[in-house]
Amino acid sequence: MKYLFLVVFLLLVAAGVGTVLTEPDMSSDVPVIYWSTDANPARVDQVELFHTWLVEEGHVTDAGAPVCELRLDIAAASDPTKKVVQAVAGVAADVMDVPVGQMVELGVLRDVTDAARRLGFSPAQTYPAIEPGLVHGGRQVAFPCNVGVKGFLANGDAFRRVGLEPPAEGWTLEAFEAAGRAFVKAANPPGTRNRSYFFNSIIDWGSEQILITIMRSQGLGLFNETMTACTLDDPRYAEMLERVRRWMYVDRLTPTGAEVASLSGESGYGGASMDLFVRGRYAMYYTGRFALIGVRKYPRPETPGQRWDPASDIRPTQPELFMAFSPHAAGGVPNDVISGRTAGVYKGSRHPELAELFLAFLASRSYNEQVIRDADALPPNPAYVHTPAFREPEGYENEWRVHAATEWATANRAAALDESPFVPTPAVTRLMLAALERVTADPPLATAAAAAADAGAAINDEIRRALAESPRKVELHARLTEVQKKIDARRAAGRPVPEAWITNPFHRYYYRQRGWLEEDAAPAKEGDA
Amino acid sequence: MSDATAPDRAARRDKARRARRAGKRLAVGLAFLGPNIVGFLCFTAIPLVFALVLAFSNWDLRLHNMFKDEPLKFVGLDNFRRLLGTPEFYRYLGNTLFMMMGIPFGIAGALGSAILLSQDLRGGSGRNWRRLILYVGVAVVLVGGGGALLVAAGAPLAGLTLLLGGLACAVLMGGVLGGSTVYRTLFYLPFFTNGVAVFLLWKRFYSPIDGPVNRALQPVLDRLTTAVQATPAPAVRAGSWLALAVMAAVMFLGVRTLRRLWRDGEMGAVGVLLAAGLMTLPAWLGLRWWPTGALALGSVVIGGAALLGVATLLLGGRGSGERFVAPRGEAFGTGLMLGVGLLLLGVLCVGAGRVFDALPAMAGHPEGLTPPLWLSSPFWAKPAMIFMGLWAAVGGNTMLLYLAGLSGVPGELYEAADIDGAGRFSRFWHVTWPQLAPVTFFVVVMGVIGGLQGGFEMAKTMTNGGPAGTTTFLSFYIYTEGFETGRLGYAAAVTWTLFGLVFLVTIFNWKFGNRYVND
Repeated sequence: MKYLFLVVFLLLVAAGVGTVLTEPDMSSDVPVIYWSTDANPARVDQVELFHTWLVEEGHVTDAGAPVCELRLDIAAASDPTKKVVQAVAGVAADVMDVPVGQMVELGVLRDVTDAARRLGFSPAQTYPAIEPGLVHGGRQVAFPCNVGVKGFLANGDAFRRVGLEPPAEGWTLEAFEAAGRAFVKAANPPGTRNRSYFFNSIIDWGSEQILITIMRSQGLGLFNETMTACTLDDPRYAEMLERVRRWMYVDRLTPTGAEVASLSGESGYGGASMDLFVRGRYAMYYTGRFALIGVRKYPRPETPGQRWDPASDIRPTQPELFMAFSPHAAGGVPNDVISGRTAGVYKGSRHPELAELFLAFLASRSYNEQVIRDADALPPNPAYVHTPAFREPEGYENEWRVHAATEWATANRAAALDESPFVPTPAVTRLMLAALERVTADPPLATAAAAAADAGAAINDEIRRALAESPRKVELHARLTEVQKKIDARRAAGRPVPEAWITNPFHRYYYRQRGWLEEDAAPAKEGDA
Repeated sequence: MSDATAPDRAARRDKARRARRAGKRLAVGLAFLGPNIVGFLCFTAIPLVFALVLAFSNWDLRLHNMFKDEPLKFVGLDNFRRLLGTPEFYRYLGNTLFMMMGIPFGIAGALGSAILLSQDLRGGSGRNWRRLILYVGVAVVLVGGGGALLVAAGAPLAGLTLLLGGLACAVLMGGVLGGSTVYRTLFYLPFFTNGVAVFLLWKRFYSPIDGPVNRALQPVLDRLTTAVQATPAPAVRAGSWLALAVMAAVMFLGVRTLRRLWRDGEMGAVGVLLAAGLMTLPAWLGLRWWPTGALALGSVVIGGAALLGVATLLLGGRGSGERFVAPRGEAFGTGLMLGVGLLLLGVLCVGAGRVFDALPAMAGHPEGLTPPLWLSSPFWAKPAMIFMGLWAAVGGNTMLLYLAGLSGVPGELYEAADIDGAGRFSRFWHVTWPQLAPVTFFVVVMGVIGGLQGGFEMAKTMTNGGPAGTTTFLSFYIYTEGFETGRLGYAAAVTWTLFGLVFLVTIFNWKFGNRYVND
């Protein structure tokens, strides 16, 4: 037996040696930095572009080669928890595409404020609305790889097939619902099971932002102005949950959870939503400009203006596209949530100055033009979008109504998501999703009012728990709570509020739109109210 | 002198040789054991101790990591106190315990499949055998080939059905040729398959509208809808009374069994009382669940009668015919098992009563009766996972253990049973089942441990803990608390609470289950 073990052992050793010997050569003459990002094929081009940019900008060795080599790390792409574990363990990539708020809480991102000023990738180089995601405590920690708001990408062919006009860019909630009912009625023959929907599932990745934008149009954010308390325990949130249920089961604007499960057995981002959208089963798809990457994978019509016939078996062609943004309540404030894939430099990086060069590259012309070409959302630097290559890309005439509209909305009606420093964002997302699931279950597990109250209470419990766990935050929370009282007092008296008092990016936007801001005021002091 | 020292030297040499040999043996043994011991220490024992320490600390990834200087504090039992005051913990524990209801069914299925697979399938004369191969071979060729032709000719549904028929024939032929080995391999195949792949496959099966499960169920439900619509509603609702009658029968059988066990001195008063309490629980809960007041009243009467019967039995003592006296705690485990079994049957009766009552209204719905939404429904998601678990359990390691156990049952016992005129069921009940007691004990213990710890992969892949947290199990809760919100100390406390539960249940199993094994 021992000889058998010995043979097996030797075989394993031989296999190990063989594996090592056949490994590709990973050595490099220059320092190597790693970029933890998603598995998009465009990243390979971006790595090459970075190397070229380094040479163009003079970041070269004596031999004229780039000063560093950038390599991709896509192992942790699909699961943020992997990045968290790697980061706290000291083995994360030098540059990480990360949820910035969460990483700032962990303290794993490097302060790049000075480098940003020196190398030209400060918040001034990107959209102002995304600044709260880049700057924490007055210090810059990240720069976006791409930016954008989500909206309803509309399949013009699907609308026209049933005799309806594609939607305009902005609409009220009532107009949105009326258009949806008209589409569903026209697209589904009477007496048949619903097969076509006005828009994709609201439980698709990121689609819960529809709720958020509609609530925001009525002045309700996830948190109050100072983000010291959750405000979801509110009739407006309950009404929104009830409305979503009505969209699913009465108006049939969006599929129920069960219908989504039937439409696609796929897991992960989007599932089969893109295919259903291109085929017109979803007239609209709540998404960003980056979805054009998926649309472009479909063949173009053989002749311009030609429309795909759903009755045929052939693969659908790219439809004519429109962009409509989130509806707003009558008399409310139109708004969208700005988001983006944001990169930060890992505090444990062995080559932080080289990683900072990569952030500078993200603000460069070559990178931004590459994002424009690939349609991977909007380029981070808005200086490069005012070109025909962005607005009217050749060969993609069906998209022309999407590009400029998305850019305009990002620049003019966007606010960042309100992420409170007093509660982990994943917990907020989980609790909001649970509320939505409870109300939209069949039969419902809770009334909308109860679900809203429970979600609000649970998130506020999380805040209390976080404060108990972190005494350092107690002082900040107490100070901001005092500011909140002053804001409330001012609002009750109908007086404007200094912008500096408001830390919630949504409320800043909302107050500005409503004309409730007292411009150029100093931070709150005792007795200011 | 030299004569005296020579044997001494020889003895010393011998002793040294023996010591060297022993040392060599030890070295060889350690060389074999070493990797395992090192692995165990590095990946099990040390992390285990570390997690225990963690459970009493406020370790939070947001506060304590290599880039933060917040001091780590030992918080005593705070994490455990918080855990016990958190409603979610009980909810997720409830979800975990609910899933464990599938364990007995899984064990029964594994035993059934093991018994089937232990049969000699290659019996008969060689002539019959050859003829069978010929017939099945021709069938495989015809059915499979025909199916392939149909698929090629553009009739995929009929073609696939025939291909499946061909596959079934091929399996049958494989069994004829290879005997039970082929079937054993086939039954064990699901166990070789990657868990995530299986979960994704089942997720597709459970697709509410176009999944194969509901596609198969819908025609059956359509016929049932027609039948219910054709039957007067009061007649359908009368089925609730039938359910009540079945519950009465269950209680009666329960009381009769307890009476026998008590009189024969096989069960003590504690076991009898526990079983009676659990058994009659659905009768009291039914007060709320039965659809009408009359049914609820009937339920209470049945429950009261059952309790009265048990009370009479216990209070009557020897006067009521107690033949042997058992210690008070005797067969406590049997009482628990019996009580839980009867409780489940009682709950099923109440559920059936509700279904009969609601059936006319459901069938009157424009869409008629519709199959469950499975993973999309908060009510069906857990049962759907249990059914999937049964599929895996029937052909898994439990089946292998039972197969091994069955091969160890002495043939003389069956011969003796045959001589005594035992039928098939009696042979199983009085020979096979008791002989398999050690295996059953082992698989129950392992099943309970696995049940309490498991469910993470399933939940992560199929439902992500939803809908509305109905498939969030303790293992998934540990993951979300530890890695999504970063509370490692709290997550470790949940882990150790779970360990405590597993430990208690295992002790319980050992104390009350092992007794039957040794008997």
